[in-house]
Amino acid sequence: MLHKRGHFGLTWAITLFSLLFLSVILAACTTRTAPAAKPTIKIGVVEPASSPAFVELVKAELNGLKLGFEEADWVVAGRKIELLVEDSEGQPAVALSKAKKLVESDKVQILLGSQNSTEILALIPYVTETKTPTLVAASGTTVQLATKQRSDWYWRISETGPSFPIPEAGYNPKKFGSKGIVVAFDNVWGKEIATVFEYYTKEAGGEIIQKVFVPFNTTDFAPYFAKFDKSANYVYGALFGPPASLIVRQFKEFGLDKQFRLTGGVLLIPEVVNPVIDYAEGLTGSVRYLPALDTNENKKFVQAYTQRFGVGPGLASADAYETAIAIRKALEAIKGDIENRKQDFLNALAQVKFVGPRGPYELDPKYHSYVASGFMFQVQKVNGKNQVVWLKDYPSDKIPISKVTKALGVE
Amino acid sequence: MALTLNGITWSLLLFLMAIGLTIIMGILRILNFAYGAFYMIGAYLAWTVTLKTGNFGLGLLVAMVSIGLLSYVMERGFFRFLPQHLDQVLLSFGFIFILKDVARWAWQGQMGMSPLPFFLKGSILIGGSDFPTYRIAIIAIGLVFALGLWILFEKTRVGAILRAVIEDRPMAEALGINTSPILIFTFLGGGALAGFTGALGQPFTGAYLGVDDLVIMLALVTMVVGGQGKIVGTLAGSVLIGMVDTFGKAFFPQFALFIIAALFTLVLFFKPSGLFGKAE
Repeated sequence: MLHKRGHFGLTWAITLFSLLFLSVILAACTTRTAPAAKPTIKIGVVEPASSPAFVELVKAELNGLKLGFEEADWVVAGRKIELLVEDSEGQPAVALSKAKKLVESDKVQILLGSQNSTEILALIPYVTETKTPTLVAASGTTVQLATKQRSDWYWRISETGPSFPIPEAGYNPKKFGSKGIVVAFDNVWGKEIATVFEYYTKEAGGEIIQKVFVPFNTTDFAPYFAKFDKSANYVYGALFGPPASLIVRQFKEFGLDKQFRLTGGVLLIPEVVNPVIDYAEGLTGSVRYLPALDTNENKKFVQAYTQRFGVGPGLASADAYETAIAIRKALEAIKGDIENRKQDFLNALAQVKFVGPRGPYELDPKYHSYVASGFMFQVQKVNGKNQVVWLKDYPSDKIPISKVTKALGVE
Repeated sequence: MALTLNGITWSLLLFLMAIGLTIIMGILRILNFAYGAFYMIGAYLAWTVTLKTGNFGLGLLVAMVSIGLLSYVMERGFFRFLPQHLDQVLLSFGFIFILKDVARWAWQGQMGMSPLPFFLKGSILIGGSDFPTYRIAIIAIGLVFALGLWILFEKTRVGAILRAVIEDRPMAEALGINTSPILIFTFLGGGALAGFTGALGQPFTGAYLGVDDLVIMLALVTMVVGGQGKIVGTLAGSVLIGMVDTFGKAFFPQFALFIIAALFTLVLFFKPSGLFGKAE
């Protein structure tokens, strides 16, 4: 039976449309929508990357952080981790403006920095006011951060105050003689180290008979060598960067190794000693980490780091690597809810447990700081070449931060 | 005795650092702040070549030739189009940033100090103390350079022409002196000297990011204290600064940062044109 032409077309259109509409409804009912992805946790890093004294140290720190987060595929508690790095150029004012940019524009939830103590002092009021969890991931810092300039929002996973000279202050009088000379930078860092070292040298029955403070950019130590007290047994160096390498080389070139023993844990870090290793035989010192530590955890770390970056790790690398692990574990403890549980995150940093390349991780909640061990090292000739070696037999206990505050007379 | 020898070593190294800058400023009237960066790149190049080949002399040569060519390209390609001093200074700052970034990229912020040739290693006993042989070599090289430049400038026809150009370039040109080759040679030579000093100085100061800032500051201070464009003045300035700095650090280490600045201020106050400069 034939319909009228118009009715036939309209019927088919309505039928087709209805079928299509039903299909869409059915599809919508059966399709599962993907759950909304959790937002990324952004970690801002403010470091003096272009400052000559810190170039290598900052690079080492960033490598350590990357390795630590790569082990978890950059995902913690179901959230991606992203590092945003800014160069503070070694200037406190620049560090502050970069921190503000990271927190206010880039919306980072955690801030890391700085290896430069003067930059840290500039950041403290801002991070305290904005309640931004901020960590020092690498390098020792002034003890003021744990005392006069203390902030509940600024914690250290590296080291607060110079605890590393303490084991050496006890070692040197026993091994080399009771009289020492200290050569240190003429700044807060150098003076704190000199004070702590002298305090514990006296406690061990020794004596610091001369202290020489040198400018940060010293290239020639010969004028200072000429005035060394000849009755001293050893010279303790508290320097870093190019001047530290230069003093090791010049000490040997001027034949001072025949008269004194050169010591200083910070002179043994790879960035300092490697360019001058041929001049460093006998150099001894205590420090919280060096690649020569002969533990399983450290061997694994050194191998992974070297394979990943083509160079061996240093002190800043190990500090930063453990910072990354501590952050991961603390974030897991609060189920990644950093936005609403900032204080819990910081408290969790003090409660996490693991054994890293620096030894058992321990963080003092009172001083908001990692508690470092002091390992003794020495440059010895091994198979005809100078090499940094761990003196295993010397005690390497954890050094309470209260020992540093006691020596500096601060609390 | 050792302190005096140290002072002389430091003085002559300062002289070598400053003399290239003095000659460029005196003849070309160009203040090239990138001179310190030339030292740094020269130092790094010498370190790298010496490490790879074991040949310290080759490192010296590569540094001299490379930085000489770099300096020539900078003058021919850029500086000669900018007659105004301020423009030249700004341009040289631009080159500083470029060269620093090149050094950062190429050497990754490492510090370098090359091993010395066997005949320059070790030390000599002088006045009861060991004094490094290498520093004696720096003294000898510095003195040879100083004497050679003095003879060139004071006792040769070429030197007379150079002095004429320094004194009054337009008049020299008016008298028929072709100054073009002189200008080219000056920039080539000045750059080569910076590269040579960097190569020679790196076992002493090290090659590292930041050594350029130290070198340009010291070179400028030495040049100003001695008098612009004056060889004898630069030598006198470097000896004055080197000795005061060395003895000052030894006897007053707490004022180490302050010593050179104080000396610079005093000279500028009493004789702004420098010890051997002429008042304008």
